[in-house]
Amino acid sequence: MLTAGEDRKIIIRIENKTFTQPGGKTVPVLQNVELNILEGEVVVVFGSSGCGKTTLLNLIAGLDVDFQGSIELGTQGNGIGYVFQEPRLLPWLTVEDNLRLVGENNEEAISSVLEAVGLADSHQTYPNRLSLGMARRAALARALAINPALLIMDEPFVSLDENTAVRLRNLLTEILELHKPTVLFVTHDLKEAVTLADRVLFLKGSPAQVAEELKFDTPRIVRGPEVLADYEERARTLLNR
Amino acid sequence: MTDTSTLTRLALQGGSIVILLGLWAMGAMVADSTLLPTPLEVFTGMAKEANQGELLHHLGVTLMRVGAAFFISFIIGTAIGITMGRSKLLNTVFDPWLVLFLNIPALVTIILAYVWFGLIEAAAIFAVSLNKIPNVAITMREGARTLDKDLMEMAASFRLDRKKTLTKVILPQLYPYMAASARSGLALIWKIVLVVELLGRSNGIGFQLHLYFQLFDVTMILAYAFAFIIVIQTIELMVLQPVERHVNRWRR
Repeated sequence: MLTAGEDRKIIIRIENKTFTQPGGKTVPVLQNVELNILEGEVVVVFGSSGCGKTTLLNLIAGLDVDFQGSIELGTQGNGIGYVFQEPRLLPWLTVEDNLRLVGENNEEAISSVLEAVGLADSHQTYPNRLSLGMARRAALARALAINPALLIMDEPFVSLDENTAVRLRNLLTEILELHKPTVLFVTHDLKEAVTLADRVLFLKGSPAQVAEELKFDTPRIVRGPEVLADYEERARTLLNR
Repeated sequence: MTDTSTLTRLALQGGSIVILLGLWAMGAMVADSTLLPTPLEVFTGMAKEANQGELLHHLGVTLMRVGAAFFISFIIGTAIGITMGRSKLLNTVFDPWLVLFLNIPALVTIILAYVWFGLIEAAAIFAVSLNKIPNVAITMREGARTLDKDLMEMAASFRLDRKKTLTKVILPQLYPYMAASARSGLALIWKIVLVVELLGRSNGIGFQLHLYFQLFDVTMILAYAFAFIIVIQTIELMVLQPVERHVNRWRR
C-alpha cells in the first residue's frame, strides 16, 4: 500500500555494481548506495574524480543495466533528463530541433525553455556555432524540455572559465526556483555543491558508498557569502573526519 | 573557399581540358586516319546522332539500368554494412563472404547471371548490383564502426524510438560515407553496365559500342562514350555535390 506522497519520492538502491577488467578481474564500484529524493529536491552527490559518480548516473539513466538493485522514479514526470558532462547535442540539428527531437513538438514550451536558459536568439543555430557555455545551456534546456521525473546533471560546469561557471550556476539557481525540478547533481567541486544543494551526499571509498550526508536549511536564492562559507566549512569538516 | 580562388581553379581546369583536346587534335591530324578522328568530328557526330539518330534513346536506357543497379546496391550494401559494423559476431562470420564477393570479377558475375537467368533485364541489373554491393558494404561498415558512443548514449537516455535513433542520430553520422560510396558507385556501376549491355542486351550505350566496334566506326564509339561521360559528370555536379553540400550545411 502506498501512503500519500510515496509516489512523489524517487528511490534508488544500488546494492552492487561491479566492473570486469580486461584481464577478467571483477572490481566492485558501488555498494549499498541508497538515495531517496523528494519531489522538487536538489540532491548533490559529491565525490572525487573516478569514484563512481558517472557510473551511478548511468545506472539511474538506464544506460547500464548490469547491476543489482532497483530504481523507482515514481509516477511524476517523463523519465530522466540527462545533462551530460559534454553537451552531446546533435551537431546536424539546430538548437530548436535538438529539443524537438527528445520531446513533443510544442513550440511554446520550446520557446519558453530556451528563453529560460538565455538562448532565445539561438533557435536556428547549429551547436558547433555556440560557445561551450551556450552549448551547455542548450543541453540543460533539452533535459528540461521533456519535463523529467528526475533531472540528472554530471558535472555540467567543468572546464568552463570561472566567470562563465558562476553565471551558469546563477542561471541554474533561477531555473530551479522557477521550474522546481527534482535534481540529482554530481560534482567534485565543493563550492558548487554547497551553492546548489538542498542536501549533499558524500560518496567515498572503494567500492564507493554514501559516507556522510549534509542538509542545508537556508534556501538557495538567499544564501549569502557567509552562509556559503559556513556550509563549505561544515562540509570540509565532515570530509576530513 | 573564396570567390577568387574558385575562379582561379576553374580557369586552371578549363585550360587543362583545352590543352588535352589540343593534344588529341594534333595527334589526329598527324595520324590522318579515320581510326583517330579529331575532337570536332567526334562532337559533330555526337550532335548529329543526338538530333537524328538513337543516341538519346540508348542513353536513357543505360541511365535507367545505372539508376536501378545504383539504388539496389546502395540500399542492400548500406544495410549489410551497418549490420556488420554494429555486430562483432556477424562481422566475424560474414567477413570472408564479403572478401569473396569483392574479388569475383565483374565479368564472371555477368556471365553467370546470364547463364542462370537468361538474357533478361533482371539478370543484367542483378549482375551489376552484385558487383557493387560489397564495395558499398565495406565503406558503410567503416562508417558504422565509428559511430559516436556518446550520442548513442544520449539517444538511449532520452528514450528515442528506433526510427528517430536511426534517422536523426545514426544516419547523419553516415552521410559522409554514403556520399563516398555514391560517388565511387556511380563511376563503377556505369562501366559495368556497359559490359552487361555488350554481352546480352539489345539496347543501351554498351550495345551501340559493340555495333560500332563491328563497323570499326571510332568516331561513333567516342561520340557515345563522351556523351555518357558528360551525363555522369552532370549528375555529379547537379545532384551529388548539391546533396552533399546540403547534408554538410551544419559544418563550420
